[in-house]
Amino acid sequence: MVKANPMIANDRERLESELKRSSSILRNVVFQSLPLLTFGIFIASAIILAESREVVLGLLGSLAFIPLILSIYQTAVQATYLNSLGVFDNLKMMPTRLGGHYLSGVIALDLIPNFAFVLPSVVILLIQKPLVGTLTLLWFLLGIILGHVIGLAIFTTFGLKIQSYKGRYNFLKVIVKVIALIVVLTLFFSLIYAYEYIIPYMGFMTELSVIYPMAITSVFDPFFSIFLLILHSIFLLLIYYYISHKIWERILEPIITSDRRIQNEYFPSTRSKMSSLVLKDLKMISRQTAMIAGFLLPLFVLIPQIVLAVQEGDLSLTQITFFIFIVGALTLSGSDAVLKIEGKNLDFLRTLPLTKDQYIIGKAVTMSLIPMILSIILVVFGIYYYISAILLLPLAFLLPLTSSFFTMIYLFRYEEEDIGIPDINILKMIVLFIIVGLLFGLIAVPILLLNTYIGYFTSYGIASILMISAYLHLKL
Amino acid sequence: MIVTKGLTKWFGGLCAVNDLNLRVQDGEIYGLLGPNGSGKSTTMKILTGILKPSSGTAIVDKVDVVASPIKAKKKIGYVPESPILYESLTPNDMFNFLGGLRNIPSEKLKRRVNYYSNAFEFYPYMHQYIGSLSFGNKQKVSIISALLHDPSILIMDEAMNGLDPKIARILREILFRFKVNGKSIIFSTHVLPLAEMVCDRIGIIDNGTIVAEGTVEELKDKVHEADIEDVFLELTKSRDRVANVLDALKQTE
Ligand SMILES: Nc1ncnc2c1ncn2[C@@H]1O[C@H](COP(=O)(O)OP(=O)(O)O)[C@@H](O)[C@H]1O
Ligand SMILES: [Mg+2]
Repeated sequence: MVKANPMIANDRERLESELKRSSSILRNVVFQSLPLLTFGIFIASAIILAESREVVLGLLGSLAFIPLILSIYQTAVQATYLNSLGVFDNLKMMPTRLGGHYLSGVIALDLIPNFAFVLPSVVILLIQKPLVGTLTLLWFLLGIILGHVIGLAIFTTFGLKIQSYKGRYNFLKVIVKVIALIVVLTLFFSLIYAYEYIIPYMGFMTELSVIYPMAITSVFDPFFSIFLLILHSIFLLLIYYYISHKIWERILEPIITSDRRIQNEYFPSTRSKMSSLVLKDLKMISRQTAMIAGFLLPLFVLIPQIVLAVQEGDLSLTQITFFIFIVGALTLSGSDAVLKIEGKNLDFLRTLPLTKDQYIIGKAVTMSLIPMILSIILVVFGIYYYISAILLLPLAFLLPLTSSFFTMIYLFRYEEEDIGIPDINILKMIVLFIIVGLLFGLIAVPILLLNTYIGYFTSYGIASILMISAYLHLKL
Repeated sequence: MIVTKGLTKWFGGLCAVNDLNLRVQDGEIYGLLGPNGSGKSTTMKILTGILKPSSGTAIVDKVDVVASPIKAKKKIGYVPESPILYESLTPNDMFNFLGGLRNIPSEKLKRRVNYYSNAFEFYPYMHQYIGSLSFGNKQKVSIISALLHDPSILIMDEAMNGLDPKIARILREILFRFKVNGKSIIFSTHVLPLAEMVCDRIGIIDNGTIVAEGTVEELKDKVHEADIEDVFLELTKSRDRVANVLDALKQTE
């Protein structure tokens, strides 16, 4: 893809960085696929166990949302990122209209992991009923394309503006964005929840169910389903055609927003070394929407599970505890992003009076912050159901920190004494997941075996010892 | 004071800096001049601690940069060849980040940022993302960043690049003030008249070693040339090469 692009190939340096990027994309594909696949298998097993067609359809209906949402999100984020890299700048000079097709080609790679999510279910259905399986596959494919088109639309409307000035209330805006994302996700799943209640009363052919994702519930009625698929495809083609033209116009001539109030003043604020480092990283992460996505990964994995648990009405304390352990373990998936944001600025950091341990601990703290916040939200959510969920609060802090400290110890193990970015590959990640899994298993044992209070307090003890010794190890 | 003894840096089989001996006194501006690829930037990167020397020592303000890098880094202000900055931060964020990492008290930080922003006419860009600044303005961020902690050693790698004449003039004045305050400045440039104007002493570096050193006058006397450009060409033995190229150009006409 990259090599075939003559304009990029001309520029050696850019080519190199682009190639590096594509190899890291490939890695990311596998990377992102793994947790999604796990959850996909979880849903697929539910399909195997389903006693009735209604339950299967309910599951498919819920499942159909996920590739849609993910692909909206990824398309919008990735397109923004590519545009910010200046990938189009070279192409602007060419006498051709490339537009949306080019962009779609590049982004396609990022959308592949979404298949991992639905793949196990599709396989099960293909084995059980080949025709239904095939139709389901087509619907999921359509869902991904639909998400892609919506994402492109979002990108054209919001992404292709030039905003060079830091707006006011920037941090607030990020918070609002994240909350909005959570709300939207939850809303979608609540809709399914409502929908599940509607089905028994209204039958399958409700008006709602002719539109994706509900339309997927037509798979047991092949002719109708094919008819709906064709309708959707025609509609999509038309919109795609329109948008891909629009995109190119906008890329050539972006809308320039100037909502800035000119502020010429310098606002000093001095902090300690550690908080300066963490704050800088958080600012950089929050300004690269692509990065936020990486950190919200636990969310994508957890929200469906939580909604399912609430739906079934069997959200137990053990389950909430389990969720907090999952968030804690997934903390380590942020390590790549948190180190990579330094990129070429590593040389700059090396000129500052910053020791390797300060750098690494700073990174570990940054990495833990978002999972900590997620865990705290989970605890608060849990308290709503069981007051004793407050017992989980210490774990909300301890687990992400333990996970990130051990991640850093592992990643920097062989490195020399200098500040650096270790090479993080799949194998290392898998080993890390195993290490953290074992450690967390150790922490979880007392909760599983002992009486509630003694169990939890013993767990805090083990987690604290692990965390503190990891911290000391990094410090020395 | 900056002192290097037998400083050597190998990149694989390539010797970028070869047994380099330098001495920059307190209150001195030292110009490092040399052809492209002669080892200027590499030398400076070793001094700042970005690179480790293969052998030899480098001492800045009585601190060994290899043995006590953190202590040395506190004393050094460094302007790299091309700005390395966090593109998604604003200059305001950047200066605060440096304030935190270098432990600069809030009052001092504010005073210095305001002083330099004023001097470099930088206020309008204070809240613009660094990634969207012009090259010259990025260079200004880089220069201000190097000066904020009032370093006793200044290392500037082609720092005048991209600055308009007015700002370049102001920077020169700032450098003179640093010098008067007894600081050591090492300065590389390809703009020879600038070097002549600014530097107390000049070292000509070629293939990683100093081939000649002295005041501009001393260098001129040494090769019996009146023009600094001719001095440079003579000392880096580039004369014949330039003549050859000129001949070749004439023949192709
Ligand atoms: N990181 C590096 N890896 C390999 N070679 C390098 C590296 N940095 C510089 N060099 C080589 O070292 C020599 C000196 O480079 P440099 O110090 O940048 O020269 P100058 O700044 O005088 O133009 C050059 O031949 C350059 O190609
Ligand atoms: Mg150089």
